[in-house]
Amino acid sequence: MTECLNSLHITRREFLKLIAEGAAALGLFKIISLIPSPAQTNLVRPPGAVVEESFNALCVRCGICLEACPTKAIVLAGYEEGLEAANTPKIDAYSGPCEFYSGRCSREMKCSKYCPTSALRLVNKGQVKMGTVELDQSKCLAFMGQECVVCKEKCPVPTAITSINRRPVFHGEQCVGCGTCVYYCPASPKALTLKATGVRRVSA
Amino acid sequence: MSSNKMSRRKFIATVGGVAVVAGVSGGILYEVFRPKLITELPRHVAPNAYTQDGKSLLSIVKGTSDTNVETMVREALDAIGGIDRVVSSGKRVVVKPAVLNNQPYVAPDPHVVAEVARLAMEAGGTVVVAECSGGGDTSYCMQVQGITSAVQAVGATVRYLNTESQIQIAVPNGVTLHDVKTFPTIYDCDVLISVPRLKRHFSPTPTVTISLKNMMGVVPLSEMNRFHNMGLSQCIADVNTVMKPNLTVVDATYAMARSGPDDGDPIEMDTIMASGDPVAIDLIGAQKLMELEQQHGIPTSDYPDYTNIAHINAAATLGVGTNNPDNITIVERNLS
Repeated sequence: MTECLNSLHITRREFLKLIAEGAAALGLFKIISLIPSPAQTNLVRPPGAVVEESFNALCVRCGICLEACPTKAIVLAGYEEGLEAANTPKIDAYSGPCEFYSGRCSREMKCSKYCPTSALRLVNKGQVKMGTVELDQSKCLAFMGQECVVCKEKCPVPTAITSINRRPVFHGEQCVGCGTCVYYCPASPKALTLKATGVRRVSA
Repeated sequence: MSSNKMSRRKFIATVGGVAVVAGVSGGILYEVFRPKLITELPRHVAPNAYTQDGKSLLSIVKGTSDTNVETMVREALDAIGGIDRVVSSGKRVVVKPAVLNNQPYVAPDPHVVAEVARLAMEAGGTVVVAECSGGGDTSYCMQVQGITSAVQAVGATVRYLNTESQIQIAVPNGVTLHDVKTFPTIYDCDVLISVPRLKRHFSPTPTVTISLKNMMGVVPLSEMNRFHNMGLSQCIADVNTVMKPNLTVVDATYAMARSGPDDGDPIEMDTIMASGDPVAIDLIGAQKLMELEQQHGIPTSDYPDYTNIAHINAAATLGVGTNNPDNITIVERNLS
């Protein structure tokens, strides 16, 4: 044993120090992952995603859903979303509109179809609420006096956005969180944000 | 020091010289090849070919639910003088259907689009059906609406403009817009034919979406966004001065009433309208739509009078067409 360590030119003291450092680092990682990351709960997941508690464990970070998405609405979550959620798929409505409710994925969600694990599942679109869109009136063109209710025009749910007095009114409980209105919002910066509030997902 | 070794001074001079030459030639190449604002008007912009005694001709063909749609289209074109007034042999024709999204009764009937394309081909034109959808992927929306297959069946080409390169053209008479991005297919065509459906547009101001608004689909999505920031009605009128359809065929077999552009009630009207004047057809279309709504008991008190629609009047002011009913000759035909 001593000969072996000698051949590595490492002293007993250094060896023990390395082991201790490794253990300390692992412990630290575990502690960090136990800290509930506020960002983690704000992730908008693809439409067929299982509940957040099971999602990170079931997702193998293969990225196939990104390739399958016809509108490129799915992007990878970064490390700022928490270690556990890093490299898992999330919906970025600025990148593309999710067409699960109306469009190319209304019959069959492509991301769920090609997901090799059961992190994304083929579910009925009526069961899904990915999140809720929120309006910032200070950035909205209609509230600045322009002729614009593009969000209402593009919304695939008939009653989720209505227009009253030439201004959009959002009905959060009807919103399915597809992000179509966010994608098409012509304001710069966008007046709309998609947030993971009121989500409805399948349980694992 | 050997003689082939470069002195510091010579090295710096060489590097400096090469940098200057590269900079100047790069600048010249950029100037030669950079995308320029095209100041010439598109080739299709021409005075209305469908006039009689200085008045814009407009046909309204009314059928019944059993009438063949293709017959109605032919009759409507025949009533104003036929498609050969604008299409002749060798002309490049672009037919622009209004395909906003994949919802039912949003786009014109595929039979109408296909029949217009077929007639233009019969008159000797090379026909391209082109669109850039504002509410979804163009190729998907055109396929779902059945326009792609119907048009290909008569032998015309379909082009999804969102996949094309963009060019920037000047809008010399524009009030708000001074330049606009469009596509080479639209800029280079000899004849532009607009094929919209007669629809109410309820957001944000109660208005209509017929031919003038259809020209929002020959610009890329980024431009549609820009228009909403700049005052939409005036931008629609400005775009129509450079993208001015030579012929408009309005599908009103089913009109979308009460609301729109995609969430209104489809009401059977069995009518096809045609004109060379996009402003006149928008005006008369708006009038017919309001009459239809009144017949069906849809409250119209919120709607502006058809003579008071902002983009129609703005386009008339810019000389795109006439919004004076006295300058429009309506040819009505009833098929039964």
